[in-house]
Amino acid sequence: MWDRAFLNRLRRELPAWVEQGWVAADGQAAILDHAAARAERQTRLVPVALAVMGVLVFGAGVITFFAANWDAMAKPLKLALLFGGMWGAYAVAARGLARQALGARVLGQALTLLGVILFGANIMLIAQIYHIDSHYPNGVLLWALGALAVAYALPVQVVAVAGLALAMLWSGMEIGDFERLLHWPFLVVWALFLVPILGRSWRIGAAAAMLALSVWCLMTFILWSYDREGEQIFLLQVYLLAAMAFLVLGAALESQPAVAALSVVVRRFALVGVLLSAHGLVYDDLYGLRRLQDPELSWGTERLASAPYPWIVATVIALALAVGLAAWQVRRHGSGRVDGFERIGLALLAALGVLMLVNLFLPAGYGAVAALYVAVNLIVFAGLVWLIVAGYRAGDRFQVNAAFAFFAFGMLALYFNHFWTLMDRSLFFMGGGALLFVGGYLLERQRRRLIGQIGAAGEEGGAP
Amino acid sequence: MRIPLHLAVVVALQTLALVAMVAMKQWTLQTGTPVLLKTEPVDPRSLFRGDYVILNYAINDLAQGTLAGDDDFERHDPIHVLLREDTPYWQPVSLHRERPEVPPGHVAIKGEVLYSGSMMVDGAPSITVRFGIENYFVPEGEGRALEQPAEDEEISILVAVDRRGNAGIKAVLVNGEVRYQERLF
Repeated sequence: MWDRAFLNRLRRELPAWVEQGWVAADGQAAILDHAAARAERQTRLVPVALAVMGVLVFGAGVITFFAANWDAMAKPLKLALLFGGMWGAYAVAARGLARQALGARVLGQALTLLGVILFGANIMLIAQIYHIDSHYPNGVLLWALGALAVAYALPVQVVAVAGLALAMLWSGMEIGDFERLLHWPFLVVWALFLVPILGRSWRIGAAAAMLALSVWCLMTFILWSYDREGEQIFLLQVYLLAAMAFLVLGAALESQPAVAALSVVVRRFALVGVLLSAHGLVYDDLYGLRRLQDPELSWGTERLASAPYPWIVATVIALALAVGLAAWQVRRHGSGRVDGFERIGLALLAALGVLMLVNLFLPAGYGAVAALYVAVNLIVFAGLVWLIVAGYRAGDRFQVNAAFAFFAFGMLALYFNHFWTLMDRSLFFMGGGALLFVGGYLLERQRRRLIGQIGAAGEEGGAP
Repeated sequence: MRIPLHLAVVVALQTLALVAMVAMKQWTLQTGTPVLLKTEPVDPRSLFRGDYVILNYAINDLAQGTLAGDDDFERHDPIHVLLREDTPYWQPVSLHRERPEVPPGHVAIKGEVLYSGSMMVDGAPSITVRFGIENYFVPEGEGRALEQPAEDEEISILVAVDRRGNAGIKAVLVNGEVRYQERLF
């Protein structure tokens, strides 16, 4: 619709632009042809979209009709309807997907998704008909595996996205309802979805995969905060290292033409993962500092004497993975020379790695843990500044914006964490207000300046 | 035509999965030992929710200290409960982490510990176990008769327990008479 209006406007305006000499005469025809082609594509999509909506509304009507008459039907009729509906949706989908026309293929994709939805509905309804009352997350797992099989067999990206959402739901049930502290089977299913996503270079699928992994990490972290709060800090450390490994993997994807389009998706999610995990390390209670300072305190995290053995293994593996991948990436694509700025980054990483290892074995004494906490904070904030500069050097606006945001969140977290107990309440609020006003203004001004420079450099075609 | 072929394989797999769900349940019902269990609705008024029955068996809440076998079960632990044939209802004998030897006149039913130590049964801390036979779907409205059974009505459930410990509901009985029977078609 918008492209059609744009085409009409171009038809009206272009002759005047040609007359003014702003557009070359032979360019006019090329521009109009290009705009007309886009408008034509869009026009063809309108009936397709209507058809898809029609299919879904019709399907909803059929389901509602049978639901209302469900009890009156004999079992064979119910089964015929369930299987027939699913087979019918897939049969029509196959015809659409096999055709070259865009509309037919889009309709084929919509009906494939409908087939997957009906497969899930069949699982639930057959369980009802035959009184199958098992561990209910298994039903959602079976549904997700059905979607996985479709994603392997057919080039239908939306099914992979739906399958990942189902896998997330399954794991959410296991974590939330059955308190699985580490529901690692999710990672197996998640990895299986990566095969078609990488193989077909599905960008939305890659974003869905990274989102599903992020949500799983968050759900796991929340459960640990209830069940094993003393070990949260070790989980955060592993998350941070794993996110760094993903950051390197994302960069490595860029050099593979078949999957280069996925690089930016993976890198952005990984960067947010790094920033979120590092932000968590800013909170003193995770280190058990509050209770170490005041043993009479009835709340707060209790510091463990040392990390349980599995955390030592997990941290060492994650650290080796992050460092190994980084070294591999540098050897593959680096010039062999590391400049001063990169050395600072590597030094910060090395220092953070050492502090993470120290944290695993540090005895529960206030002085030592407080020193570790201060050192980690210094490195986290230095790392954020380094990321801002690195983003500026690379012309990466997303990195600059994200690192700026987390720098501000980190400062606020530190302020609310510490100054509340150290200052008079009125001073606390006045100071907080001033920090928000002044700090926010300064950070935003600096961020806009850097983003503006990146934009200007981009327009000139040179490095900033 | 690769797409129809690939899709046919997927549809066959999905259909097989659905058929397997039914087949496994039917295998349990056909080959399992019939076991009559007493239902004990805590609150008869909430026996039915919508169009399915919530069944609360006497063997759902078990006193760890008073039964033989293993104890110290925790939430979500798998459990095998050895049941002995009795009149009219089968009775729990012992609790096990692994599937036990099953003597004649006994069955071992497999379940999952839902809660541990939250209630007392026979003066001992109990565990609440789920066996996958706690829900039974009924036609809309037909469950009303069972929802508030008359004083002289007793509801019991005939369950089949197969050799792997899986259980399935074969029939719902009122005063020993079959009210609903499970069939393939």
